[in-house]
Amino acid sequence: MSSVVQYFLSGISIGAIYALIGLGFSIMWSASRAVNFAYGDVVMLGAVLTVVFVGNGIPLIISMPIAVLVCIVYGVLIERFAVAPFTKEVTGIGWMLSTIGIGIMLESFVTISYGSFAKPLLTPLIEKPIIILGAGIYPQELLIPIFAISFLFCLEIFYRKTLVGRAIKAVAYNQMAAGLMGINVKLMTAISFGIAAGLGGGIGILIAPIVQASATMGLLLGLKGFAIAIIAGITNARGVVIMGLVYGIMEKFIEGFISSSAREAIGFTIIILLLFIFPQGIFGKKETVKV
Amino acid sequence: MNQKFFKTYIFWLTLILTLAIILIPNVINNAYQLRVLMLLLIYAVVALGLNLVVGLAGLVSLGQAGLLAIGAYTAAILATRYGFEFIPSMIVAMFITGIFGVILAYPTLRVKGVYLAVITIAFGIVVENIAIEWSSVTGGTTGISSIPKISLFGYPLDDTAFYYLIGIIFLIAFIAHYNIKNSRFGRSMRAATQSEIAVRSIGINPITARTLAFTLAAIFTGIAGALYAYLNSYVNPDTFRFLDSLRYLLMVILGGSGTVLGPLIGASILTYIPELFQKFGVWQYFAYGALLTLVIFIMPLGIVGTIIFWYTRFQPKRVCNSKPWPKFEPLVETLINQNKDKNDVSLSIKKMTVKFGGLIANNNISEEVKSGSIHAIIGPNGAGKSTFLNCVSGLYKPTYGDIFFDGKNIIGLPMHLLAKMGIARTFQNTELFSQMTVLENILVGFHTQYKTGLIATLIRLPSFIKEERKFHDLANALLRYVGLDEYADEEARNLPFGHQRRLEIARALAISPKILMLDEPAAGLTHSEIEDLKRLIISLSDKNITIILVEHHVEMIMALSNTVTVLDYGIVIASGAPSQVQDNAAVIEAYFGSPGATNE
Amino acid sequence: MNKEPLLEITDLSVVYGRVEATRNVSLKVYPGEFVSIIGSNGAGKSSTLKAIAGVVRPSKGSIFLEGKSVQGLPSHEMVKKGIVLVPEGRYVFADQSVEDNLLLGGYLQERVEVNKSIIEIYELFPRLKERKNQMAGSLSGGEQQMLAIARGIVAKPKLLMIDEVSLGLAPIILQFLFPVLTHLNKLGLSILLVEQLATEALAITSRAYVMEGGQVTISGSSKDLRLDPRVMEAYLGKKS
Repeated sequence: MSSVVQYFLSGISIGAIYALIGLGFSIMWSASRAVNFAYGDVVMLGAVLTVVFVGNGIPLIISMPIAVLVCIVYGVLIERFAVAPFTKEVTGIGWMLSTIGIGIMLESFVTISYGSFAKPLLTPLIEKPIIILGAGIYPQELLIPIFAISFLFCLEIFYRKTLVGRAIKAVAYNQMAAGLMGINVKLMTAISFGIAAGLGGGIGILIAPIVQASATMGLLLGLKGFAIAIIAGITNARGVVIMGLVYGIMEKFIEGFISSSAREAIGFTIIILLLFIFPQGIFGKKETVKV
Repeated sequence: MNQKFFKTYIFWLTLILTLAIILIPNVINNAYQLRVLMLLLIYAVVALGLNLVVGLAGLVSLGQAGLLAIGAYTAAILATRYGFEFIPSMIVAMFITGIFGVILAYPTLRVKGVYLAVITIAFGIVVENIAIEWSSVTGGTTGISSIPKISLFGYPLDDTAFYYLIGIIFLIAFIAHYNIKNSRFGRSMRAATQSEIAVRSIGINPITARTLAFTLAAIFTGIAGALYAYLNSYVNPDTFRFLDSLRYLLMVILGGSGTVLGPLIGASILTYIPELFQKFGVWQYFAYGALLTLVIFIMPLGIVGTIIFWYTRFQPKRVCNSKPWPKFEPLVETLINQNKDKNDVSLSIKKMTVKFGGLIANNNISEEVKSGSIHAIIGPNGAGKSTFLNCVSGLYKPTYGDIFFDGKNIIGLPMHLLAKMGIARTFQNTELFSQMTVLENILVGFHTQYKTGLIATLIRLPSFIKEERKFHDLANALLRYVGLDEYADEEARNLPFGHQRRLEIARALAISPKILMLDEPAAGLTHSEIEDLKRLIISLSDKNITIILVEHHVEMIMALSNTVTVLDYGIVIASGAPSQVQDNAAVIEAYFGSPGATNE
Repeated sequence: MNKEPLLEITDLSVVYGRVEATRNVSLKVYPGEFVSIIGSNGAGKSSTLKAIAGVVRPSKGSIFLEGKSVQGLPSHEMVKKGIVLVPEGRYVFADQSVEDNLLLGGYLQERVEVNKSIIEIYELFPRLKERKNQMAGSLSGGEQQMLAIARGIVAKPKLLMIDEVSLGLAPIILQFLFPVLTHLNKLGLSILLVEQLATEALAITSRAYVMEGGQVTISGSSKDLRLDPRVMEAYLGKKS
């Protein structure tokens, strides 16, 4: 029984990571039907920067917001220079490869300057595990799903109650109509990418104490997050979060009952199959073609 | 660039490559360098295959390393466990990888662009993980080693002989790639990228074209995988990762996506770069990312593509003139002439209703179209004309009702099947294959009428050559018919608008239609162009082709049509001879508004 | 009527790819006027409005607002300058509430002003007040049209342009909408209306332009045009 609880709890924790990354993709895609394909590297950037700052003596409480700020700037620059020039094209190869190329450059730069080893980020929340129903989990791990739900909640309030949020929603719905309201579509898109990037940096900081910060931590996470967002129906934020949590729990159960090695193979196969059956995503809506 | 020039271009190119491949080992006496060269040729084969998917079919695949792994492991397992010799293990590898190609093609049924990219990445990861985990079969992280030296019919090959074998295989792949690209298969793949809807309207199922591209790519990759296994004498999961898939994609793009020589050039550069980048030491990886970014921003057409672009730019521009149309062409007469329909009624629509959510676009429409007649559909904006046309042509499926054509109920049948049955159409937004030449646009129209298959195309049997010539002649005749013969080698997107319309109609005629549906053909045309259009429609009608016309140019409608059907709010409010409809009060009100309904 | 036109366009050409949608279109709207552009489909009426609103860029020609040149500006800048377009197809934000749509209409305005405008809107369109918290996507076609026009009004335009009011709407709703437009115009709002239903348009406006094949072929006072046989021919062709 306690192992089932264990799988469930760790599953919620890792699932929340996927959920948040998927959410980041959702925010970007909704604004401009294009994303920073190497979004996982933004997560890495947040983690690595914080570790570096803390390593240089800057207190954690100051390192965190600065790292997030750098990520936001990075995200906006990527949108303006690597994504926006290619959004008119149909295939998407342009922004896919440009963002991947820049991601590779960032990753290798970090490997060179920071080192290829993972470094831990120490916070009080990973000192002692708490025991629930016989299963152990660090408070830091529990923090992630709590953060995910709260962030989703704040995001929904932002979209519903603030003018900028409504404007971004309008841009996501139809760019032409949004422009007719006086909304500066380019600005809203940049802001969306900035929000997603800030979120990414935050995710990195959250997970660094658990998985440790390394130059390559973002690659697989980003990929999974994107795939999960797509199967959920990328424009549906709630759907993405639910899907992420479900996937995380499923992963842990596979790990527990079969093996940790089968995890990726089975997980990704399920993703491929789901996309066959639901090409629009499970919670997504159909986009009609006008002739 | 016309056919004749290409023929000599490709001949000389192949000759040069063959000579180079034969002579190079005499120049480099270094065993290591020879191995690098062999690796290069193997990668070039992968790139050639991927070029079909990316360059022709316009799809992003980031899972090629997964396919390569399948090929390599299959060959390795067969060689080490079951003692297969090279040729049989290569054939099995080809076959199994090909099957996975078909499997990977299945999602292209419904997803494109990024979604497909993610699926291919996921596929690559699954393969990589299975290779790591299924250690009983794949040897896990250490992989399979001690693959026996490659041998043919019992004779082991030394390095030089192996090199020549790889060279031969490369040349075969190179020629096969060219043969596919310059054939109806290559044309239909390219056309499917540029306008999926147009391709369906001339009877081609875009999914078939894409599946073919993926499968051929997989077969190429399977062969390359087998060679790879023998070259290295071991396989392990390390060389089949996402970054390797990325590298193969970069080879195609750097070289020039869709070009003949591009894959080889891309493969060469990216095989030698790791050698070069060794100097960068720890900055290798960074340089690699920088190269990728640079290519996308500065040279998206790739090296060969950019050269071709600037070369055509600096060609002297010739002035093309269009000729009056329609012009009598005997071949065309035979093509488009329809027998007088024994039925009086060509198309019978019964109680057709189309609902989009809560909106009823077509409400219980019943109408008959007489064969050989010119039947116009008019109505105010939002009346449901496009919906009507789209249902009859197979783009939408009506919610209720029946449509009878040629004695069959065609409701719900997809557009490409209806096209094969003889229903052709044009589009409001002129769906041409904009980056293909005018001649190619027509040739794609003949795709479904070819009798020679893939094998005949690949090895250029005389039957294939004869058929190509026949359809080229027919296509040129069709261009002369519409007065566009001087534009044959121009890209469709460079044509003035009125000529684009002509081209679209000519392409529709290529499928020898019984019914031709024209969606606002006069929109954007000048007065004289409209006169030409009127003449064409009349001459087509004389050949017993039934014409259905959706139009707003009322003058044209009233002058041409035998019957006019007026739609408003999704229902038929009038149907009959033009003069009747003009005087009909309901019609006047629909367009004009009622005299009484004002504010005061 | 002021001497200086509020909006003046000269020789406007709009090209989509290779298609010339409008050619050498010139027209004027004076402050306080209610002007219409009528004509059958494909005549170029929508393209003209879109070019003025900044949704598409004209390839040739000039646009003057109160004497100052405003072409080449993107649509959000045009809204700032006071030109608001209610687009064909309405494009209400279906995933947001009626009231949120109105608030978005007032995106560039002061919140206090917007709130005042919304109260006035609710008096003008009581149906919208009833449904103020409903998702805009669940409204009927006529209600969406009301919302789209209301949204345009909240933006406090100098010139309100409406593209095809009647599209897909039942006559009974039009009998409500057209008087509302007349009322707004009487209160001082300058309106440029593109409309397919010629009789309706000519009944409520003071002047009209008729477009055919991308050009303005007839213009004059609505009263005169109501009796001009050329207008009906533009739609239904010459009688044989």
